[in-house]
Amino acid sequence: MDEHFPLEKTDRLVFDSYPVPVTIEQDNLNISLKKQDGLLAYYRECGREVVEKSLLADRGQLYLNPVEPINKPKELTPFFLVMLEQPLAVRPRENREITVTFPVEIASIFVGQGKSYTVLDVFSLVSPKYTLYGSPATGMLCRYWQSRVYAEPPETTFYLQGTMQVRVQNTTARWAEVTRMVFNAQDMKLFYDRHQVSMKGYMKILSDTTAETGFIEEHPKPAESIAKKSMDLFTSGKLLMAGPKMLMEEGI
Amino acid sequence: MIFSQVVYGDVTVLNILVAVLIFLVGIILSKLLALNLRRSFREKLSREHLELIVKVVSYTVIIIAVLLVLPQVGVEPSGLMVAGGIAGIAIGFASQGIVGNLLAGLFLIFERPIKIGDIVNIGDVIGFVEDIRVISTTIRTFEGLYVRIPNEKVFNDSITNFVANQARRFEYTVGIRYQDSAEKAIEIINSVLDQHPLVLVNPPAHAFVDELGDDGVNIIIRIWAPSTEWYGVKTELLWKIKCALEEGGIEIPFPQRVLWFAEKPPQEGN
Repeated sequence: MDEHFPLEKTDRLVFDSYPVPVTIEQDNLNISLKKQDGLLAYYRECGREVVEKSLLADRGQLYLNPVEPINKPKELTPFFLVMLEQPLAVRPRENREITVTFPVEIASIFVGQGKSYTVLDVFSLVSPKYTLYGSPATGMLCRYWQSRVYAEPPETTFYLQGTMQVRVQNTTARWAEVTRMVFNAQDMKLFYDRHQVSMKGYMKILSDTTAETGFIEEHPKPAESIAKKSMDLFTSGKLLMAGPKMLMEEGI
Repeated sequence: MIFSQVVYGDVTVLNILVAVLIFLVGIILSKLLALNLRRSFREKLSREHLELIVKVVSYTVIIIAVLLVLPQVGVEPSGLMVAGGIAGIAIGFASQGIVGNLLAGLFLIFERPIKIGDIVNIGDVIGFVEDIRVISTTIRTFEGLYVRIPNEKVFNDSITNFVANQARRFEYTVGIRYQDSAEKAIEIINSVLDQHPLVLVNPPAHAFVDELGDDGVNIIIRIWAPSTEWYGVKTELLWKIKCALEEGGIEIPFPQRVLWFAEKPPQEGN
């Protein structure tokens, strides 16, 4: 352990770039990237999970960047379901913004000379959970998260939870009850700063049981402070087989 | 000149050479396209979609090459329409098995009861679908064996696709002693299941007392997991449940029998 974490300056976790060599400690997370035997050695320990890699590079920077929360424990699905702690009744023709939270996953990205980069690792300090949206025969596998509904973005621990401002629009002439929101994370637009992660989405209620959801590429509130757009880890390597919009047909 | 020498009808040696050249170029082009498609889209498309695209592109190029070759060898493609009917009957009788497999293969490719990468049971073969070709389907069994099954057999046999649906259920039976609390055991089991990321929230896992058995109380645990991951989850969870129960003071009972003696057994030393 000492080999990886010598008694030198240790950084706390923020979403930013770190010049190499670097050691970061936060809760049960330890990250280091330093020169070892002529190579750069990356080490990350988070709970029981340990990742070690050697890099054939001399200098560069380590970026810790929030990414779509659908990578842990492995990439299984592009869909992300937010289960509301209490059902949300939406009056007819309502068009209003609410906020929910979402789990944060973080990518360790090494940027070498000439701005070339490689994703070393993705980790999360939040335990992931999965669920099925719909029946076992026709349903979709989704990353699961439970959240309260907030009128304004709440204070969160930035490395655990981000905030998603969702414009809920009830296009019907009747009250609608929303219990969950399913998004296609392939098109997630994450914005972040050193101590916060946020994004904007929408949910258009089409009937009692169907809704359309998606993401909006706009700076979330407060726009001036959440300046950086996160790297789209999921879409960077894959073609969008389905459109970015998501049609919730198995209930809302 | 040797190139203008007539081989048969109006077909010269040059025509034959051009035909061979076109056919070779067609095959090489189809191979190159397949290779490039695989290289370019390996990371971006699922293997099943990629192989379907590769097959469609390869066969299209080869069919175009054959259509270009035919006039060179003195066969007009329009003439094939007439000859095709008669030839088809003759070929059909001569190669019933191959044609049957071919048709079954086409149905399999378009109906898609199985896809490349799926875990299936066809007849008595269980394994991963490695490839679906026009004549046969190849399966890699869990033991690593390569099994080629003619498509006609695949089409006619019953197929069990273990991953066609998104989620799959499995269950354990765990026995506890009569003196242990079943409520507490179920609580511990549920907490283990809650901690596992791939035990689905919905459909929910279910643990309940199923039987008051000879040796203990049997609790059944039903768990839903993603179809592609269920085996890993199944092999991982049972031991975790056992350890958690023991940590909570609940033990798995050994087989036991209560013996009643009609008379008091003789004391030691008597």
